[in-house]
Amino acid sequence: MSDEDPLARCYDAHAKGLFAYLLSLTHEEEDARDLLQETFLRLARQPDLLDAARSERAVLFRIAHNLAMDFHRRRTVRDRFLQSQGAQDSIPFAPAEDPDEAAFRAEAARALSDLPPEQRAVVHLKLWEGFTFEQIARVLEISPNTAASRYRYALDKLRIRLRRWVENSSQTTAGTMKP
Amino acid sequence: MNLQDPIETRLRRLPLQTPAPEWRAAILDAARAAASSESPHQAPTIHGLWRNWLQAILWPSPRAWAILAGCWLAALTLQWSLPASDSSLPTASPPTELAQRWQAWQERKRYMAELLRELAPRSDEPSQPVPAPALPPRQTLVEPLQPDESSIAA
Repeated sequence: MSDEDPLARCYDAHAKGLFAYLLSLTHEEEDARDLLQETFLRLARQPDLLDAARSERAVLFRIAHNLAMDFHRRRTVRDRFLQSQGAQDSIPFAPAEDPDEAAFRAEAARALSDLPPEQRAVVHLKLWEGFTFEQIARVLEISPNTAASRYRYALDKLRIRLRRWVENSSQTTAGTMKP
Repeated sequence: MNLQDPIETRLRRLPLQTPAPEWRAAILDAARAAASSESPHQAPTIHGLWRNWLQAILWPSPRAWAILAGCWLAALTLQWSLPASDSSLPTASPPTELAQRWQAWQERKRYMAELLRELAPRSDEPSQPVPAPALPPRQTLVEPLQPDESSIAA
């Protein structure tokens, strides 16, 4: 790893999170990869983007989010075609060996992809990036209250969709804790 | 926020996909190439500005814009293809080449008309219909039968 190169340092620090975020928004690994590259191209062309930033991670996520939204608007027609052809979306979670866990991840990915993109973005940034609502608001250019309400709505939907899995999980955990 | 929410806890624990390791070099090389090909504060080119402007306008509904442009082209083609003497249409100026050809043809027509007028004899005779020659006084083809003197004599 070349720490002298700021671009490489940024990649090593943020590429993993950015890729997962882009994959969550695009559902396609190739598209997420292209947008990840475009994010770093933007950064390379305008290195001063990070100079005045309080959080370079937030700036990078903001660039990636804007790219993903542009991409989302452009590919609407192609999406409809792929959906009509029964194309399988890429799952944003790592594969699991345990069949139950793999099934849960697949169901969670489906539940996430059924959320509107704006709610999915908030959920991802909150759950897997650990952003506060203020940080999410800056990334998505919305108010913190809007971010919080989107998160609540999305979590309610996920709770309903994944209730069975969570209940099974808690029962299993309770069972294993018994002597 | 309730951090003890089981669904949040369960989802938060899910490991995310990671980018393939071989992408790192490719992406960084592309980024460095892009950085070296452009100066940091290069002014945007006219082509880039035009493309961005066009993209911003057309992306929401490119097909609708294409159909609208096609309709305009069809309407303009139809208008130009109609004869210019049609007074019901507004007098839009045709394209330059067509206008020049039309003007040249009109001048040639006028010139030919003048030339024909010049070549024509000044007197009116040829132009006047030739009066039909006066017919001789009507002659009867069959002489009226007159009593033959010899026969009478006989």
